[in-house]
Amino acid sequence: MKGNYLGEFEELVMLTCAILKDEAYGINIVQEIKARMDRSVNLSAVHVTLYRLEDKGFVRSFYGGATSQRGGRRKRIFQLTSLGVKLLQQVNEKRQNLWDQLPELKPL
Amino acid sequence: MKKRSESPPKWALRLFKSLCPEQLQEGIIGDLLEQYEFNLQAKSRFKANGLFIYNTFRFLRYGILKRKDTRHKSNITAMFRNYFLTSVRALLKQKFYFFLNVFGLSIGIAACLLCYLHINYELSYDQYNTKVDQVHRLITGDVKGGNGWVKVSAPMPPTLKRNIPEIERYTRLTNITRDPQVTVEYNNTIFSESKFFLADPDILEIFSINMIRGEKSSALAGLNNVILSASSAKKYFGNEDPMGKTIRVDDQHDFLVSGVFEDIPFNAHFEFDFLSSFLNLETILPGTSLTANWGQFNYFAYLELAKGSDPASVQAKIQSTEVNIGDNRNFDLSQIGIQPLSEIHFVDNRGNLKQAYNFKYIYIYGAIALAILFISFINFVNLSIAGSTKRLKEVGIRKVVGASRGQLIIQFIAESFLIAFFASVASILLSSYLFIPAVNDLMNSQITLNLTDPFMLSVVASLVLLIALSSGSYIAFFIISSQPISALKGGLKTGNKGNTFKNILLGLQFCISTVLILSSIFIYKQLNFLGNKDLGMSKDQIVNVALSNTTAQENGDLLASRFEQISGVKNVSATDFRPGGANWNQTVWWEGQQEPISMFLIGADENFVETVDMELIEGDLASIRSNQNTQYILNEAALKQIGWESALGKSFSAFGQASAVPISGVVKNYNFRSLHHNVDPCVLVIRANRNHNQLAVKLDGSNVPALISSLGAAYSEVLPEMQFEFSFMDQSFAKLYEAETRTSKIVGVLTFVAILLAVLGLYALLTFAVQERTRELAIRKVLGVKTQQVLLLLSNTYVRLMIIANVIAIPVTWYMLSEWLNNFNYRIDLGVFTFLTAILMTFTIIYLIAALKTWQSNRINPTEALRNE
Repeated sequence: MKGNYLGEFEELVMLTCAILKDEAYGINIVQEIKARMDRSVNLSAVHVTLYRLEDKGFVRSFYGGATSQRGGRRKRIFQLTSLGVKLLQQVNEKRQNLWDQLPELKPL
Repeated sequence: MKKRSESPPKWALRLFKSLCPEQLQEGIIGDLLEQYEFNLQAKSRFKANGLFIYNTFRFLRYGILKRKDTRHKSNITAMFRNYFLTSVRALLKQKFYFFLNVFGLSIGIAACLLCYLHINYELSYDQYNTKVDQVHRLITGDVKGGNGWVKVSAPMPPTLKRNIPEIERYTRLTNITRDPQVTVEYNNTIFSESKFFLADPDILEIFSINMIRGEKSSALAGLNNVILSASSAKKYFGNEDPMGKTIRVDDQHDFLVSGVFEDIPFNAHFEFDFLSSFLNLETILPGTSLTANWGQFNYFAYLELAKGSDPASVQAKIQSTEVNIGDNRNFDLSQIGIQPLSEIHFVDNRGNLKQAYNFKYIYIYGAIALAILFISFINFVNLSIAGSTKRLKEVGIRKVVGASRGQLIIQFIAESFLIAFFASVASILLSSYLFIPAVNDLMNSQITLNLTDPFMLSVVASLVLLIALSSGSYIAFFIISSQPISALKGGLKTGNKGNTFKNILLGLQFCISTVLILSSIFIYKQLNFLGNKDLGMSKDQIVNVALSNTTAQENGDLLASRFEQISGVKNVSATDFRPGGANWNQTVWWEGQQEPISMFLIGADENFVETVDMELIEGDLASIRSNQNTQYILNEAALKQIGWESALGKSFSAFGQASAVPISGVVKNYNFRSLHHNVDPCVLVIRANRNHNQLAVKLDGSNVPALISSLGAAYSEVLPEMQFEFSFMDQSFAKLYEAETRTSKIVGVLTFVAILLAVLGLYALLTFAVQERTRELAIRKVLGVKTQQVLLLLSNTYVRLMIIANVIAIPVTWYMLSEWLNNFNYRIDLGVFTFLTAILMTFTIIYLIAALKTWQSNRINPTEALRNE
C-alpha cells in the first residue's frame, strides 16, 4: 500500500467511523468528534472527506433504515473496508515506530 | 415542547436540491435535517434557521458538486472530437476560402489593434509626468480654441507667483539663442543641437525629471552650470564621467556639466537635451531683460499649482492681477490663461514645439479600422454561407442521427471561433513584425506591442468572441433552418432567406468601399491643392541657408555677396522667416493707437520683399532698398486691424513709441502660416544689417543640385569651420501639412486594404455562384448564349447592389468630406466629376471580376459540365 497517504482529518474520520460501527453517518460522526476530541467540524467537511475515502476504497457506504427524525430520509452509513482497516493499522504502526525511537521526548 | 410542524427554510433546501448530485442528496439532506432538529432544541428558531442555511451552503463546494452525474461525458468528447475533425476537413478542403477568411479577419483585427495602440499612444502624451494634474502652461489669447500664443514675457511668472498663493513653482523656458540650432563642442566633438534651453531650476521638479548624476536642488543653481540628458552625455562624453567637464556653446559660452538626467520620453510635448539657468538670459541674448520688457512674449512658462487647487479660479486670479510697469501704467493680464499639461498635445496653439494632435483623426482612424473589420467580417460570413451548401448533407445526417439544434449551433460557433482564433494570432504576428514598424515610421511615433497589456488582450479576445458568436450563430441559423430531407436529397438551392441577408451585407461592403475610395481621392486632391495654392509669396526655388551662430551672422553680409556672384542665383536676402513660424510676437505701437495690440514680426533685410516675390501695394522697392534704417512693412490684415485706409508714411514701431519711424510699405496678404489659418496681421521688420539667422537664396531654376554645391563651396570658403545647412522653402511649407499628409497616406493604404478585401470577397462569392450554376451555364452555352450575356448574368445582382450602395454612400461621403474640409481656410470644391470618376471605378471593378469569372467558366467544355451526374 505504498503511496496511500492518509491526511490527519481523514484518519480522524475513519477512526470515528470505526468506533461508531453501525451508527457511523454524517451528523453522528460530527457529534462524536465534538464529544471525544472537543473539536468542531463542519458537516460538509465530513461528507466530502467520506466521499473521497469512498473513492479511494477505504470506506464503503450503504443506506440504513429510515426514521421520522430525518424527514423520512434514510441514513447513509459508512463502514471501513478491510483495505481501510489495514491502512489505519499501518499508519499507527509507522507512527509507533517513530515514537519508539524517542523514549525520552518530554516537553521542553 | 416543540411543534413538529417547524421546518427549515424551504428555499435553501430547494436550491441545494437543484445543485447537489442526486445520488448524494438523501444522505446529506437527512443529516442536515437531523442537525437542524438538534439545533432547535438547544437554540432559538431564528438561530437554528440561520445555522441551517449556513450549513447547507457549506455543502456547495467543489468536492460535492463535481460528483454531479457525468455518465454522458465520454460521448460528448467523442462528439466534439468529431465536430473538430469535420471542421478541420471542411476548412482544408477549401484552402483558398480558409486562407481568405483568416487573412481578411486578421487584417481587420490588426487594424483595430493598431488603432487602439495608436490612440493609447497619443493619449499617453506627457503622462510620464507625475504632476500632470498640477502643471499648467501660461498662454495668451485664445486658450481653448487653439489660436493662442504659447509664450509669455519673462517678468510675468515670478510676479504671478508672488501674488497668487496657489502657484507653488514656476519655470520659464527659452531656446538659448533666437535660433534654436546651436553648436555644442567638447574636445573637438561638435554637434548641432536644437534642444538647448534656458530654464528656471524648478523645472526639474515641475517636469518630474529623474537625475542620474547631480542633485535636483543644486544642479541648475550656478550661472555656468548645464545639465544634459543621458543620451547627449553619451554622445559627447562616451564612457567618460561628464561631471565637471566644460562644453562650449556657439563658440562663445562655456558651461560646466553639473548633472545628467534621464531622457525625456518621446511622447512628451517638450523635449530638452540641455538645460542651463534662465538667469543667463540677459547675458546670452542681448536686448532681453528678466524684469522689464513686459510686452516681449517670447518665453514658455509653466506653473505648478498646489494640489487640489482649482485651475479656473487661478486663471481668474491671474487675469485680475494688477501689475504696475512704471509711469503709473498697468499691464493688462486679462488675455492670459492657463492650459493643463494634459491638453497641450491636443490643442493646436501657435508656437507649439511639436505638431498638436487633432482629436478628429482618432475618429477617422477608428472609423476606418472598424470599416475594415466590418468588411472582413462580411467576407467571412458571406463566404461561410456560400460554402455552407457543401455542408448541408453533413448537417442533414447529423439531424437524422439526432443532433439537437443547440449542438449544431455550438458546432458552427466553434468552427467560427477556430478561424477567428487563427486570425487573431496571425494579426498579432502581422502587427508586431509588419504593421507597427510601418505605422511608427508613418506617424513618427514609438508604439510597441505589449503582449501583457491586459486591456489590449481583452480587446483582441472580445473581438474574437464577438466575431465567433455573431457569425457562427448566423451561419448555424442559416444552415440549420434547412430541411434535412431536402439536404439529403441533394437539393442544393439554399433559398432566398439567406440571399437577402447576404445581399444586405454585400451592399454594406460596397457602401464602405465607395466611401473610402471617394474620401481618399478628395483628401489627396485637397493636399495637392494646398501644395499649389498661391500664398501671396513665392516659395519655389528658394533655398534657406542657416546662419546658426553669431560668427556666421556677422559674416552674413559677406556670404550674401559671395552668393550673389554665383550665376543662377537671382536674389539673396537675410531673414528670420520660417514657414509656419513667425515666432516673434510683440506688442506694437502706432500713431493714434487706442489700446496695445500684438502682431507677428518677421525680421528681414531690404531684399526680402523682392526675394520672395511679395506684391507691394504701397511704397516702392527702390526706396525701401536704399533706406539703411529700420523700416516697417505691414500686410493688408495689419492695415485692416488698425483701421487705416493707407499706411504709407504713418508713424509705427514694434519696439516702443520712442523708436517709431514712418511706415515704408504695405504688401498684399501672404500666408506665412499654414493654410488652416487666415492671414493674421503681420509686420516685416526691415533692418539693413544682416543679423538674421538665415539667408534666403532665390535660384533661377536651372540645375539646382549644381547650384546647391556651389553655394556650399562659397559657404565653406567664408565660414570654413561651420557646417553648410540648407533647406528648401517649399519643403518647409509642406511640413506644415504633415498631419494631413500622414492621414492621406494612411487613408490611402487602408482604402487599398479594404478594397483588396472586398475584391477578394466578391471573387470568392462569384466562384461559389459559378460552381453552383455550372450546369445551368453549360446548358445556356449549348443553347448559344453570348459571352456578354453570361457576364451580365453573373454581374447582375452585384451591379444592382452597387447602385443602391452608391445612393447611400454618396451623401454620407459628401457630408463627411465637407466636415473635414472645414478645417481648412482654403479648400477645394467637392466636384461632381470626381464623384462620377470614383463611381465609375467601383463599377469597373465589379465588371472586371465578373469578366474574369465569365472567361474562366467559358473555357470549360459544356459536355464536361453536363456529363457529370
